[in-house]
Amino acid sequence: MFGSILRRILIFAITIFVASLVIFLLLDILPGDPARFILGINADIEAVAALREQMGLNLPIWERFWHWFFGLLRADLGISVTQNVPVAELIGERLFVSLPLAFFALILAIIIGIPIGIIAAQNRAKFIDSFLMILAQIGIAIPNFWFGMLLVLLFSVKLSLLPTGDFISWNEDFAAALRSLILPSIALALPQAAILARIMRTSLVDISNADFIRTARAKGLTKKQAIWRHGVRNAILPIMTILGLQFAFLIAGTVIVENVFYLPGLGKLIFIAISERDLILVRGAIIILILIVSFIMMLVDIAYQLIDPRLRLRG
Amino acid sequence: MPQDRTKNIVNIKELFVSFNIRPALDNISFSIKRGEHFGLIGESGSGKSLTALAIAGLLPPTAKMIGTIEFNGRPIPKNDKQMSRIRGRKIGMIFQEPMSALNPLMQVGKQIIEALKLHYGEEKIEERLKKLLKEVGLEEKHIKRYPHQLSGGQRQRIMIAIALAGEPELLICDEPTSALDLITQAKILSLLNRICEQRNMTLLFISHDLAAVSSLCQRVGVLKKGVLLEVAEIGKIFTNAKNKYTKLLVKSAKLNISPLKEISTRNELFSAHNIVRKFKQGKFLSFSKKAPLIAVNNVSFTIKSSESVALVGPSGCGKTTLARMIVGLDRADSGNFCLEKNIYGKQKKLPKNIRRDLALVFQDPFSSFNPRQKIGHSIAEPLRLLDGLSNIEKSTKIIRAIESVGLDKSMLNRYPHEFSGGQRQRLAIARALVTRPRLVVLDEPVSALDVSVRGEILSLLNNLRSEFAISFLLISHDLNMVYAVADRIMVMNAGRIVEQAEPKKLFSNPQHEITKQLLAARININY
Amino acid sequence: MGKLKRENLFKTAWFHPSFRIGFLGSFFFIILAIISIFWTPYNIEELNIANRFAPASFNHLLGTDFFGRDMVSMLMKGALTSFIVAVLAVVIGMIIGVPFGLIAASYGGIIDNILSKTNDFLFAFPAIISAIIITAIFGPGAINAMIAIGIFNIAVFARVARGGALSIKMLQFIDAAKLSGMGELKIAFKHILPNIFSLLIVQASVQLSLGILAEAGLSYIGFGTQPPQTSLGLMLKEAQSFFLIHPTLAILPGLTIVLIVIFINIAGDGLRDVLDPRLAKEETLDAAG
Repeated sequence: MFGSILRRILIFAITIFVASLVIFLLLDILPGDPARFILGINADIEAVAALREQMGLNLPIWERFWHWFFGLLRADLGISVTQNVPVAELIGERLFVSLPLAFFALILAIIIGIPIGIIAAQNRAKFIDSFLMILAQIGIAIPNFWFGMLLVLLFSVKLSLLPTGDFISWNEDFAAALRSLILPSIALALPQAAILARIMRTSLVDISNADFIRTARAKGLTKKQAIWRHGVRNAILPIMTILGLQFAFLIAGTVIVENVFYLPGLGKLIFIAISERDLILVRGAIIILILIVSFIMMLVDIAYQLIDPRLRLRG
Repeated sequence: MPQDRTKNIVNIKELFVSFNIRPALDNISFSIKRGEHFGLIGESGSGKSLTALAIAGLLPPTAKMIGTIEFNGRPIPKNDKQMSRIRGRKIGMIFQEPMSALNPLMQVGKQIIEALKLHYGEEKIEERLKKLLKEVGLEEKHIKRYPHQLSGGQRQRIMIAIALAGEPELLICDEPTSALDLITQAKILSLLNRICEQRNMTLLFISHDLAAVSSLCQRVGVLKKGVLLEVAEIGKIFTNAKNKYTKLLVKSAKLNISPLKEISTRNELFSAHNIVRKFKQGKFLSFSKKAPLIAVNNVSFTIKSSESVALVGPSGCGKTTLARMIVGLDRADSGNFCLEKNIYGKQKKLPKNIRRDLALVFQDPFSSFNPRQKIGHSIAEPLRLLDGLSNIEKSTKIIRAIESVGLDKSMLNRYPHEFSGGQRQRLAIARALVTRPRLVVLDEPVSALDVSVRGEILSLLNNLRSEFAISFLLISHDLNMVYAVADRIMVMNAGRIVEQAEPKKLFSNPQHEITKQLLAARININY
Repeated sequence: MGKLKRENLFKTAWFHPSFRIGFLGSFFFIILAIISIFWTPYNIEELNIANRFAPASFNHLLGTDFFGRDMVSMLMKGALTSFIVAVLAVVIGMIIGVPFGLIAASYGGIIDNILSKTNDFLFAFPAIISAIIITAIFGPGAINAMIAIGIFNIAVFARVARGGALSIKMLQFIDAAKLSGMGELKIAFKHILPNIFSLLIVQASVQLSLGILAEAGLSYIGFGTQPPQTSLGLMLKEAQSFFLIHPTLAILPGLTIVLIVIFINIAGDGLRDVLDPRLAKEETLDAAG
């Protein structure tokens, strides 16, 4: 088991290395001269030369890559061209909004989705099941940002219950900051909760047809007891992988949903970076997104290894 | 309630079960006497498992049931909660596939304890657990294991322990040994027999295997397509069966195969020299390197032309790996094969001239044809190996092949799902014969088929051998079957061929321990 | 064995009620979108500021937007862009992803390992990440959104094709084809592909609806379709500043997206029900005993 965890960590390391290489090739090599790209076509030659010097573009390609990669290992993502601040610092600030948002949304999705899936599976082919699954069908089809707009319309404008945005930083007013994340996390969580509910239902229905549930009933358990004692744990295992993927989608989703609520998260930062052609900032933001997602996927895989005795005690 | 031995423990009256409107059980009535061993026999789809599930109240929710099932003189309750009190405490059940029948995420000891607690609460749990383990022949160290860490036989013993936990009056065994190899099967059957005798327990034993039923049961019911054809004492079934189908079952259980015409087997056709095949274990970028698994370990043998050689051995002995290497689906790590002076073995792709002289008939007739291709196309596929055939020559060969296995050429335009299992196996043989190969390897050619058609297929093989002068290498775990069709038997164990002899000699005077075990595991029908 | 039966997929599926409803529903929107190529009630390139925010009336069935453009015409054109982007993204995914998956499953070993690891990686990343990179280099646009969604689809189809191919590869008719001297690639395309085709069709329906949602998201943050073209997502972006006062401007395009996606999804669910052997299991339980 120790070996397979080590193997998973190695795969994570290789992934990050390859990803940083690909991003380097795409953003430092593909645009031709990044300095000219950043400053635009009309920039004067001296300004371009100065920026080339500042970005270290006169060094050989491989040296530039090592510089970028080892910088990444030391959490040094370079200095933003447009804002003259270290990129790591800029991103760090924004993560305090984006990460909690994605995390709250994940928790919400779990506490809404999983019970709905279980209830639907237990009442299979009855009215409740069909009703919940129609709800889930609708939930999946709703774009999260549009749902966010509807929530703003309802809760902020019609009912005046919650703020429309204008995030106040955590240090200033913790409760206010938390409150302004409520609507965005609901908007983000809804489609994921619907997906979770459907998968949980299918997984549990599959399991309740499994032979070992029949064995449990043959022992003298009722159908409900058999599913609770033996089914749910088995059904949740495949859900774990899904949760890892969902977190990735939630992180990406924050980029979009932040827009609705005017939250100063990673999405806003990326948007500014792109419109100002700040390639260094874009590069940093993307590698951080990849780092977070890959790290979560690795954690999920390792957790799976620890929980499933078939993997834990292999051989 | 007084334990009246003459009273029936189960009474089934006019039982109908259907899915949607499709009937699955059609007017079944029979009873099981207290203390007797009752067998229910039938092929797949006969409804025998459904009957068992109906008695235990475990029918799938989509099934509709009409009729009465009485247990201990009272109709079984429809309410799941009431029924669950009868299950386990009065009725114990064992299923076919012990791997999927146990919860993969729970230690097996805990799964037994769960059943014990349901019936006795916390009282003397450890003691009862130890006693149960001893009764089913397991050790205490097995308690902490998970299902995947046990062998098939051990898992089935765990299942038996779970079923016995509530000290049931009736034990229902649904094909309890058909997922196990022969030697384990024999052990489990005798264990079941002993336990039922000791506990004075009624047994309902369900199987497709008449031999297994006859070794365990006093009375048998025969089911076919949801209809109960007859119920009789086991002896009468063999000597004086009333129903035509029952007679057929009895006949095929004894494997009457049309005898082989004398064929002279002279010159050597095929030989294997010091074949070794290892398999690497472990994954990509793995840190835990394991020693390679040696599947085939230094095997040498010869086959003469027109000879039928059988390769038998317990599951996992390497016989299928060897077969795949012989036909070129796998390559040897060292050693080589020689087919009529052509030497091969290590190359990834065999040249056409060797390949067309070799053929393989697969075990499972259901997956050996592409479901989206007409049978004619599938049979024609091996003709790619013969160069320069005109279309007329091709179709003549295909027609001759399908007719040689006793089927009609009009069937060439059909799709695989339109055929029965037996017909498909004939078609598979036709495909194997279409290039007129010299050596045909048959991997368990009848074990996936219903018993009633096994005899036909084996007779067909015998006929084809005398007609076309082909050599057979027959791979099987079934010594009885092999006895009827092989000139020589090779016994394989743990990657090596441990003994070979003519069938008669091998049966009368086995040398190696594994041969003795295999022979002892056969269930002989003594009627 | 349900999966192995040969049958006309569409014909069988037609008898499944949810497939029929979903198919007819999505067909309705597809037809509207196609009509918009040749004709819309009003020309959406003509702005009529004087008539902005007009309520629903006989002339403008769903009213007009902030430039006085007819909403019905906008929705028709918007749906067209959304469909084109999503369909082409599915095509990109299938054309590249399926051969990748088949090759990985056929050859196994190192090739499979490298392809699948790359694939697992891509699979974990929603279209937005590739969209950010593409937009940063080439600027925003519908084609860039399509490529970004397509890249994610490649990973999905490669995974589905590989999984399906691996399960078909276990079947003995593949060995039979090998014995007939067929090469791996020929087997992959002649024997495996036809048997996983229905699986791919179901996945295509899923990716189509996800594509429509992704296009909407990307256009909404400005990484997708750009004016003067329109798409359902772009309409939402443009409604952003007005929707508190004129909510219908945001509700209509959103509702259209929801309806299209629901219809495609239930059609896909119907198809899956017809194909999925697990759901057919109960039906065949009696045949097993």
